[in-house]
Amino acid sequence: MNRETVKLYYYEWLRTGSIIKLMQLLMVLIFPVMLFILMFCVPVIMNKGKMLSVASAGYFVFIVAGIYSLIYKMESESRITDGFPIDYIPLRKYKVSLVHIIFTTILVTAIVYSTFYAGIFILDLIIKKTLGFHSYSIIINILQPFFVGLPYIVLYGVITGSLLGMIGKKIIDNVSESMKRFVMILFFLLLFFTLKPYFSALWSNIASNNMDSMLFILSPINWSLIISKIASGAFTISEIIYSVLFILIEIFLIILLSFIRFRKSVSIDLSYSTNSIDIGIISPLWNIVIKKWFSLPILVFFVIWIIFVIISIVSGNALFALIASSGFLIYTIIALDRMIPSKNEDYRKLFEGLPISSQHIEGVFYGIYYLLYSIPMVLISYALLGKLFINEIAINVPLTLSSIVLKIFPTISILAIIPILIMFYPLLWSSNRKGKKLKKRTVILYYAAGYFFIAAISSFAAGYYAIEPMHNIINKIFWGKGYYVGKFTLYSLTGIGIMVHIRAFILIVKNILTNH
Amino acid sequence: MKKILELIEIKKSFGKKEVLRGISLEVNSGEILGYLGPNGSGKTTTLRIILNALKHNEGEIMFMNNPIHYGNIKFREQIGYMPENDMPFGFVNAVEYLQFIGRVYNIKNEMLKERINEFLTIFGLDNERKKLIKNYSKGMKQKILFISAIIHNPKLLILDEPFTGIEPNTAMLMRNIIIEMKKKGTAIIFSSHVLEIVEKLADRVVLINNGLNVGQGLVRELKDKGGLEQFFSQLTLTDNIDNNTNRIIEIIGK
Repeated sequence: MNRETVKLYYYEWLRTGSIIKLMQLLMVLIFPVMLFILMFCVPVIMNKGKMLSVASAGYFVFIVAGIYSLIYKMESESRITDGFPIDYIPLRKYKVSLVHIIFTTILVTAIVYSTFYAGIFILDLIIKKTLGFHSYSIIINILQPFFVGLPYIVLYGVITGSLLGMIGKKIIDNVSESMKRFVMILFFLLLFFTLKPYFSALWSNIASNNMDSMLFILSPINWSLIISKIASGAFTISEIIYSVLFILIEIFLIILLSFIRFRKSVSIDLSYSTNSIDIGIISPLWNIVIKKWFSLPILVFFVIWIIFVIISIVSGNALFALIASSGFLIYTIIALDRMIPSKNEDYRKLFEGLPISSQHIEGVFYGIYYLLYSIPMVLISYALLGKLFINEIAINVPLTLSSIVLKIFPTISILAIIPILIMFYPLLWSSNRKGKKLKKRTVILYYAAGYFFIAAISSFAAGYYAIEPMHNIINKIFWGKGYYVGKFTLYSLTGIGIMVHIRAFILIVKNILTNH
Repeated sequence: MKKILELIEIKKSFGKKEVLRGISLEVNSGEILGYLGPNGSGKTTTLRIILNALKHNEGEIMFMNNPIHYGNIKFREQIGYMPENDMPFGFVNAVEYLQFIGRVYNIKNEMLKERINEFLTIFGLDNERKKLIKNYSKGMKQKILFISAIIHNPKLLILDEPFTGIEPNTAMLMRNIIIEMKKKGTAIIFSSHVLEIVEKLADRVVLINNGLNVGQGLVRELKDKGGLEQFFSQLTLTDNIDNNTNRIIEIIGK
């Protein structure tokens, strides 16, 4: 039966959805590039020792392994257990969990080793001549200690990712909608605590008003450095014992969680006031979408959060800005959770029977998105990132088209992530023409990956202007055409973002001008 | 009788797969048309094409003697549609949902309020009006979908398996409403696998199989020729049921 379960995992892995496949591909492609940059470019830029970059790369591998595991725990296992009558066949659930850990560890280790070797080999061919780095064999030699510890880091990442995925899956499977949102917030707070060292460093920099390191910390590729400060001097005997114990405890928790079955769904329905107001002057669909977006607790949360944003803008107080930006993350998760249909929701047939055009429906979703999400996001960008990030770069850049593109790129492109999704799923709450429906976890992963990707490009672009060694490296890569490649990427992504927004605004205007 | 809907030689393919290979049917005011066919025969595709939710490759659709082109959805204001296995918006209560439906069909506020109150009382949902629809039972959701389909007194009513999960008393009520609406001139397309109900309700049936019309006739005439079940199995059955039954019993008994 175990062999059959492994087969099941293998087939599910092959069958993963197109967005997950794209993310897998991106990870496989980006992973060696990012790792290479961490190992070599970071010490060059920071003028620090090799140990720092090895520790950073270790952390990076941990994150990638964790995300891989998280995806498979949430996606593949979910489909195996949901789409398959696992409750009615004689198969123990803890065995499924163990198979998951074994399968994912082997998969991720294979991917990490093969892509890393291949990645370094390819990058070495491309970059060695322009930057004068060491040859492939020397690089491998330098990284020898890192490779020895790699399986441990992978296993550690897989198990942590599995545990988080397991907790997430338990929450999603076993609690009712409104309670689920509440627990999801707690779950993400737990994640915050996991990344506490990063936020402590962020906070200490905000407190000391050190804008230069602020810029550096905000860049996602340098997250690892903060952690590596804590992790430097790793692999002492006591730490190894501690880590092994930690892994064992995590495995124990995973097995324990696989036994726990909630007898009854927790059902606390705070989500609706029965005397909701219908706004007569707007179309019925606008009303219904607002009703789905704003339940009473979310409305209360939204108002308190807006107060924090306003105080942080008016007072310039860093603590309020930090609370407001954390609040925005929670608001994003809640809003996505509300707007993306749950497993049982598919309103395609319902929409198809009503005299409302799909363009009208699409326009409503854009309208609500810009009104209730984009405006708050721009506000929070102004409150936190505007002061600490974009303006800092602008100081060193004369007012040219490039500097304007650099300034608007992050906001324009991050705001375009959701409208692009709506373009492919115009009815949002229902399956599209191909019969495919958006899933909450896919959207959250897609949004996080998009955010990460855009932030990485912004960091490189900002680094080009702000950090001298980075400037030189970018000029030298891509056979001396690095600047043009970067410029083309930045301009084209900004252009796509602007076009997506223009299209959305045309649909909103059309929507307002026509009743249905 | 006035012709309300006419489908002329409708063809539809998904890629290379031909789902409808020339479906023709018509339904007149004051008539109930039973639309029958085995699973996968193309029934739901036909209904989606009628609603203009799906573009057909060939053929013509006429609604009240006007051709319907793809993209035109205005005519849906005169259609009531109760889809199979669907769910009304689960995140609102019954009153809010029906208010939404009523406003989409441009029913005046006062009239809408009155209709919602009356309907909820008659269908036994009065005490459940403040409950979110997602917490309703299957039968209660079906009632809401039925109310939404008739609330604007449509010219054409399309019902796809309307009695699934409905308890007998409400089923009787719905059946009577359908018959009374027919008497008042509504054209009704009724699709169901439960042949006994089709036999009781429909005036005429159209049977499709593999995307083609394979038979049609008046129900009262078919009753004389052995009933709807015989009509259905004669034209759609490819396997011998008795042989298959014996074979399965033999396999599981090994």
